[in-house]
Amino acid sequence: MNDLLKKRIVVTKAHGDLVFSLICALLSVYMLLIGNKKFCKIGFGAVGIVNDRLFPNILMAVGLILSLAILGVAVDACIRDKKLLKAGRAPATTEFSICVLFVALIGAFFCLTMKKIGYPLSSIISIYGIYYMLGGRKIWKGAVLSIAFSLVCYLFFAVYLGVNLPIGFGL
Amino acid sequence: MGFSFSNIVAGFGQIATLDCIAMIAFGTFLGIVIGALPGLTATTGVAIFLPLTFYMEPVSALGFLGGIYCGGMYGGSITAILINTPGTPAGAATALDGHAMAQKGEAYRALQMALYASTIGGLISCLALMFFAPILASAALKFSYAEYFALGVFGLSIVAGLSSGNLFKGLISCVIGLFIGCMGMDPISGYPRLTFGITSFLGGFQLIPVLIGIFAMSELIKQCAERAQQGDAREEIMAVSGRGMDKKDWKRCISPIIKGSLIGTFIGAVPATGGGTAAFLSYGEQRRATKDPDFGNGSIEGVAASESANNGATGGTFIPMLTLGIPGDSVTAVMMGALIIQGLTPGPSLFTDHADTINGIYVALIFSNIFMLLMGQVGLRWFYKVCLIPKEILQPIIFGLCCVGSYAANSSLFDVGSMIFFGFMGYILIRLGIPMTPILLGLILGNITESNLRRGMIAVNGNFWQFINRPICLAILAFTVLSLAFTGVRLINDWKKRTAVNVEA
Repeated sequence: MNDLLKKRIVVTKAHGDLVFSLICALLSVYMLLIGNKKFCKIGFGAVGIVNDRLFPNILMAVGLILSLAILGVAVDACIRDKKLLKAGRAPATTEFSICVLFVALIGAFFCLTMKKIGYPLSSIISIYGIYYMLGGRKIWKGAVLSIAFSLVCYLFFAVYLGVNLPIGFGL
Repeated sequence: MGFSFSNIVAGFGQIATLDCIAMIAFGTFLGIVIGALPGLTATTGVAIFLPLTFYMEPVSALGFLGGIYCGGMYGGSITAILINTPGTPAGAATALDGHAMAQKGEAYRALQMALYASTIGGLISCLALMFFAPILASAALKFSYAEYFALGVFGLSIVAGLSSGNLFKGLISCVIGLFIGCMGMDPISGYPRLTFGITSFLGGFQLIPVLIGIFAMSELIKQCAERAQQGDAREEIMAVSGRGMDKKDWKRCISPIIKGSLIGTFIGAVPATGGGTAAFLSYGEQRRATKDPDFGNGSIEGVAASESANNGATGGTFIPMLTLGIPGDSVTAVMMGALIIQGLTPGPSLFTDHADTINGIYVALIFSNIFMLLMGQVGLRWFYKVCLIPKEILQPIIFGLCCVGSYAANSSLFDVGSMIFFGFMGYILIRLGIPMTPILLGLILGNITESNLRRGMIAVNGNFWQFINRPICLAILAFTVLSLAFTGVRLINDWKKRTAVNVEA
């Protein structure tokens, strides 16, 4: 488990920018040609081009121009990186840790189970999960932390502030 | 609408309840603790604790968050001085001389100066806020759709240009925020827009989960990732030792403190700059003016200049936020969300419709600076101990607060899901070097910009030139083009320099 949490994906900054700009450019083109027409209905009170689609169209046009600009800069950086590699120097990189997927999974667990098993239980499990992921291995410490925090939060938000935090199990 | 002492008296009346004063004090304490924790900024602190304010009165809520802001700016100096790791970006300039002083065994003196300079800077900027905000607001009351549209564009462009080293990435970050803001109901016709057939998207993304996601959750994910790679690395903390400040120190530092406070206030009032820029500008100015040969290697003047400026920016950043609805920095961008949640729309109408609340906010900020001084004085020798809290204890608490906080706004699990999604997206964008603040600005300013553009254009039958053909509007738009052009020129120069260095290498 520890080794899995330490795994990461390393990409050069130029390649990261390249992929990001391509995704943005493709999305902008899709929205400009299809998406805005399909998902923006024109409502009452429109005057000529001043309608519900005006702002999304402007945004996507600007987004496309910016994506192409980032793409240009990224291609230039890729060429520079190749030269650097030839000269025996390492290009700038950025890394994405695999462990972020676990944080997202724990978040998704909290979100999906809160209504069914209730806030206290889903919070205790999620907080213990994060504690474990961050290297906490003492079970009693994690248990005290997750139970105490969930209890304090429940008392403050549900009892004091009156937020509708579900108890779960149909109660 | 101008400044008068009766405003301050009215403000005192607004905060003169035990609840309100306790919340300001609690906020200031939390701010100092958060500021002292490396990796947690005042922005993150305000985002995490924002949900606690849903059920408070507006003045208590803003006072609480203002306390976190002021305390957070000062708290950053504690770790900057003792472990050379600024708790907040604004504390980076303080680390230059502050840590050198600590290494010489003068940590106590440096911490004292940081506290006093921060308090004086904060108080001077509060006074500037009280004097200048009403003047600007009364001018802004004459603005029509066109001027508001131009201000929105100006706010978006300047944030994008200044928040990152890369203009294009800053601007595309803005576009992402604007696009997210477009989802949901159309602000004019009320028709569903960009919902992609998903019922949950009909109400659009709520501001609070998005800002908790991009400022707090993404930071948490980033720290989890770093922790997984680096393990439990602990920094070396210098001892809080040595003598305290004396009269000579005061004599030497009063000028840099006043100068720093004024620079901080002015820079803070320029949208999208904030404490970090102010601290470095003030530090640079003091470097030019000083006769101290030790400057840069442990001079108390360096600490005074940077700390007075970064806290001086706190009041300044409120000026454009309260008067024009354009945040001065990322913290005030988050606080704009708090104002909106309280049913108050930032802008000049606040000064006419909710003058009492505004007066209360002024006095609350003054109080948070006074509490900061008192708490700082008492806790000078032990506030640094918060750095010793293990991350495996702290981060799960932040995670829990993010989840319950985003749920508390509307009792909606969709909001919790959005918060997690935006946290994850924020992490990826941070790794790609995309700044986060413009996303939030796009989300907040998008609605104002679009509504004013469309309402104004409809009034002139869609003629854009006729719509913007007003002197103030044209001036603001010209200023926008100029600021973008300056950023563009800077970008080209940086690129040329980088290319030249690579060729030489």
